[in-house]
Amino acid sequence: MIILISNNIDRNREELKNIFNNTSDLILYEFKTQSNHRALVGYIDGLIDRSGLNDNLIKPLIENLSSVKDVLSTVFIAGAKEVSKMEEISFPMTLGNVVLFIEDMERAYLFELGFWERRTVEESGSERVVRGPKEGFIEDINVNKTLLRRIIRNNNLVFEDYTVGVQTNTQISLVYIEGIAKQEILDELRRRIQKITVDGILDTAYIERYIEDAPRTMISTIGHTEKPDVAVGKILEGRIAMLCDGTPDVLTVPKVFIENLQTAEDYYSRPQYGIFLRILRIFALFTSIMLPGFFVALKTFHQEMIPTKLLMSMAKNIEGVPFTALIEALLMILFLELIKESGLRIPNNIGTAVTVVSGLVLGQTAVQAGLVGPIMVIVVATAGISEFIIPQQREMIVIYRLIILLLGGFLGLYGVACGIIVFTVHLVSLKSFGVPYMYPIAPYDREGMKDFIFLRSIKEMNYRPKAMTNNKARKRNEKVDKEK
Amino acid sequence: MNEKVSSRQIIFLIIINRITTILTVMSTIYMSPANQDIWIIIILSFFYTMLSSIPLLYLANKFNDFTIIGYLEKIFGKVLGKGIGALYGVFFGTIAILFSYITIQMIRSSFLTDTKPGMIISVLIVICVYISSKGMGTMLSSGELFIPIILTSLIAFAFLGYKNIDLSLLLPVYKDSNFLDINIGAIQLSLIFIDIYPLTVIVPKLEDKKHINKIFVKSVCYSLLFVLMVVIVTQTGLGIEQAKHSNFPFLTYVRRIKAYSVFERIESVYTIMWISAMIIKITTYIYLSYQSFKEIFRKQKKGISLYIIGALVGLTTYYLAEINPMMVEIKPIQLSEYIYYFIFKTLIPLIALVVYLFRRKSFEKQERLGNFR
Amino acid sequence: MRKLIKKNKIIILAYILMSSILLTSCIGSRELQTLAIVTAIGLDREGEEVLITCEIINPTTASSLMSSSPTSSTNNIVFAQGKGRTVFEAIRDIPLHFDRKLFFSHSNVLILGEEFAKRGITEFMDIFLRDNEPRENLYMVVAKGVMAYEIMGVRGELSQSAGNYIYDIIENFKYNGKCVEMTMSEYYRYYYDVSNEPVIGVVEKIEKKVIDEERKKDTPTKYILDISGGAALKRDYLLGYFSEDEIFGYNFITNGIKGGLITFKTPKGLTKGAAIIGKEGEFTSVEIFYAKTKRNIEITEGKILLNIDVKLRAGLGEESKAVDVGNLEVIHILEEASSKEVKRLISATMDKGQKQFKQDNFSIGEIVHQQHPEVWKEISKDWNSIFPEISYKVNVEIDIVKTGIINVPSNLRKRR
Repeated sequence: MIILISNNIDRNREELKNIFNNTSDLILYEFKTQSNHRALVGYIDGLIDRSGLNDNLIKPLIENLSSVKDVLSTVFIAGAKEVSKMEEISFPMTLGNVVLFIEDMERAYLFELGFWERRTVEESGSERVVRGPKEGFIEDINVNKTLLRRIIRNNNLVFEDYTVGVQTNTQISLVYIEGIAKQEILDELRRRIQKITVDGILDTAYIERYIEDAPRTMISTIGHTEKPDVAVGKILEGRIAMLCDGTPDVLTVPKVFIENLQTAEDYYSRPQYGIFLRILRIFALFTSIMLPGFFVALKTFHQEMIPTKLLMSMAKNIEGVPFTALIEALLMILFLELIKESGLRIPNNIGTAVTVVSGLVLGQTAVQAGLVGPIMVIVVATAGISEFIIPQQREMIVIYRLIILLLGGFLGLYGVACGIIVFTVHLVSLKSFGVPYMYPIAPYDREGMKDFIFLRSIKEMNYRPKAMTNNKARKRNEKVDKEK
Repeated sequence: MNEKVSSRQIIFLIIINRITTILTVMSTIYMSPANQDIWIIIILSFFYTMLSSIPLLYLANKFNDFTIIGYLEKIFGKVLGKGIGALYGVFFGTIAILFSYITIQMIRSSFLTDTKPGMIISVLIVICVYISSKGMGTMLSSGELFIPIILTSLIAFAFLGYKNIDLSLLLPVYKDSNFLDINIGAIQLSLIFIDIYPLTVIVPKLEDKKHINKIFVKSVCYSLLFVLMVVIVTQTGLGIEQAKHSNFPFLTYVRRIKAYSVFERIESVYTIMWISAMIIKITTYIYLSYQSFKEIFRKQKKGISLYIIGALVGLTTYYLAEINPMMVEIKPIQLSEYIYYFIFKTLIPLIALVVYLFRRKSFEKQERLGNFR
Repeated sequence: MRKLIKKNKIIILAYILMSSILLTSCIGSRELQTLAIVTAIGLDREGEEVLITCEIINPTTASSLMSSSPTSSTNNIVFAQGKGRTVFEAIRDIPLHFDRKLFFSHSNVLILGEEFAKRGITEFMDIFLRDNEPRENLYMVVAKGVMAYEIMGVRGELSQSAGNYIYDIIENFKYNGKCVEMTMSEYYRYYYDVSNEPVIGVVEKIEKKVIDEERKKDTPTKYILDISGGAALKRDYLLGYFSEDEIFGYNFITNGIKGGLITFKTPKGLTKGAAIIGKEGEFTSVEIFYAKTKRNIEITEGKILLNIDVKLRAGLGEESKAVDVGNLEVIHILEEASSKEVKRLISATMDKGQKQFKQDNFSIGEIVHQQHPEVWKEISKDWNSIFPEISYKVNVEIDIVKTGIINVPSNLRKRR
């Protein structure tokens, strides 16, 4: 049943209250205009700019309105909309619009006066840099859009808005540079977004679940970031970013494996240092996944492969340890995860005390009591620290580490080797929106390799990555013509 | 599966297949003349390899949109072609069985001495079937990832043992054997390298089909360099005679590496590389067998023959390993095995070539009428 | 419905796989706590049986790395012995009376008793080659005059066990070329050559006075091990021993010198008119940095001539005669004298090899094979009778490149 806006203000008021279910933050303010008409202003408290409402809307109407048809020219607000049905009012009002009913008018006017409390733009907590911009995205999508606009000053930067979420009606927005982004990926992305039916979007992770290529794998095929300069770097290479109202996480599509190893700081430091950091990160990735399994395999099955002097000291140190190497490793990993998880939840005041206790107790005393061997503690601690170097794939690292540990404990080095092979083949078989996940290593691309480990300086990276960019826009540092 | 396969990936695949033929059980050491002149046979086998692969290469160039089974069917007619295709499928399966048997034996003797072979075999077959089920593109891409690492580590292992090798064992050159022995050895060596088959099956998906010959020549050259390096290092490290006594010579060589007091007992790294290389090889042959059966029985449930082939290979290997250990037969390769390889590598393609040449007229007529298939 | 069945199938498969792994004991793992790590192996013969002695590290004593001081670690080694008709049977005899299973991969040394070596070793070596646990890097030494287990009871000075003791002394080979370092794989590398008779290391027990005053009261003498010299085998049984100097010459002949010291009498006549302070000594020591030997065979009229060309780079180590070594001519004279000494050593060894042992311990046959293969084809069967007849010529070239940080010894006053 379509409810039309009536002449009668009281009926409008009842209708509006009904639509909003008598919520307490619906403010309805009636006043008389200069032309002696009753006027009703309705808005959701807290979502609008009160002084703007008073000065620019109510005041001119009270003082200057001569006839009902002149409302738009009297009011000092740009961007008004005329509506004639009730249901066209409710959604914009939740976004911060003010509705104006006037007696004897069968139309209502909507004015945009949205203004609300928002977090200030500050340094993002999870991605910190020493050198480089420190702004981070916040939860308001318009501010985020502004942050991006201020970096890419180009008329080809396009925002495409969508509303997703049956209950939450969250606004999400695709961001790309027209002419550089690949058309097939855009189309595919649009197709997938339109298929999303979900109750509410609380974070971009929800969107991720619905649009990703391989939902059952543990490896994320869609990247995310909280810093504008990182997002812009990816947009410039042809990727598409997705903003979501209510969360500072911005998704970037498509994602390839080497992005896990890249941070903004590699590009802001000297290239040689960047190379060092990349090598360190690859080493950390391998260590974190493989080291416990490799060590347990050597100790349980292949004692002949351990150098003699190390074996002697190991034999001395584990006399009296009641468990097998596999159980020791599992125990230590359990301790590690307990410490990590409780460190997240502990309030700041007792934080330091508990850290000391846990470190001492679970580490040193366990060794002295003969529960675990000291080398196992070192191995697991190293693996645990290395996993934080690659923050984007932490989930994957933890689970795979366990799997390879179990394989190593049951089948020795053969099991570890098989686990690595299966893991790598799985990685190679993944695709992110049509781009192979192990690009540029697996389908080899020489230009893409310049960004892999042996990082060249920005001056030498002359081409955008082949798989993600429009074919006509492969060369960097040139203006792009739009395709007609 | 519209992915194009780049020539680089194929070259890597063929190189690793050729190297793993002799990496574990170094059968080249037993080929005539079986003394310090083995390296001459390796170099000479390049020539014979080219010679014995001419029919296949020619056919691959001519029919560069079909796999080997495809054009066999075209040349020989439906029934006979399907029959020969099935034979090829069985041939690839037997190669896969042979190499998985060698792998199991080496793992059982050297690393996991007490583990039941059933476990090892089942894990091996499951992995190979898993990789094959992901398709050719994935297999080649992951090969592109692994194989350079494997090759680099082979070079590293060969050079880390420099203290243990004594190059004077290779003298006197060419004095202890005569020309006939060397040629027989080179022919034998070229026969056991049957690794042109990945090329024949992947040809339809190749990116640039004009370079088939170049691909093959390049891969043979590079792989012979590696084979040369591995064999020379093993022979001079262990001694000519002692290398023949050893079941797994290169492993023995790696166990002896002791350099700079840091690189001691690094065979754990070698184990991982070696297992990866063997898995690549076994997967290749299981995949080839699966492809040939897939092409023969055109309509079947998706991938069921893959599981059947995998199960058959696994069970046969288990039977051979547990119930009927035939280890002694791997060594000096019997004449019957040479003939077996020869039939499939050279004889059948030669016959196909001859038949094609006779029926060329009728093929061209069909082409003009647009009546292909 | 189909999806459910498919999922169920996967779950059932995973369950079967997991339970077959976890429930049965088909894993085949070995726990480190159940292994006895063997560091030295000794083989002896008792009557017709083989006696194997293993030296095992005892890990329970030193629980942290600090307290492994040498003299107080009296019981960080245990021994286990086993008897059997073959070596494998002897090894499997040990678990009947020893707590743990033996683990051979870390043993470094194989000691062969003299009795054992005299009766032939090849039939007992098979297990060390065939089993994958013992490494091929084992050093082989013959125990001179005693049984192998008597050698193994001797403790080292700073190492933890006798196995490591012998291993460490053999590793000191590069300081003193008067011993043989022969690993099992090297032994077998040349073993199949028709001509070659191997030479392996030798180990001897020597009594020595205890210096430490505290300990003198309890034990006035103790034993140490000495590996100078070498044992010559004929095929696979012990033929005789080379002495210290002869092994030095042997290492020169077979290009096996990695370092060492040549001490010789300084030639007379260099000290004429020198301002000597104190007594003048007799000897000069020259330290070898680099040595390379080239062997060439010349066959003239059915006679085989072996040319041994030795090139050495050495540094002046010690000069006890009052000789002005700052003078280049003097250096040349010293070089001459040292080459004469090396020649003497080599000749002594060759003579012993030819005349006393009457066999080719030096792989000269291989040289003939490599350089004159056609001749070798004819004479290879009779090589052992031909070898004592061949003549040899030794040519030694020494370059002294350093004289240390002083030039003239302290018993000589330099002129203005």
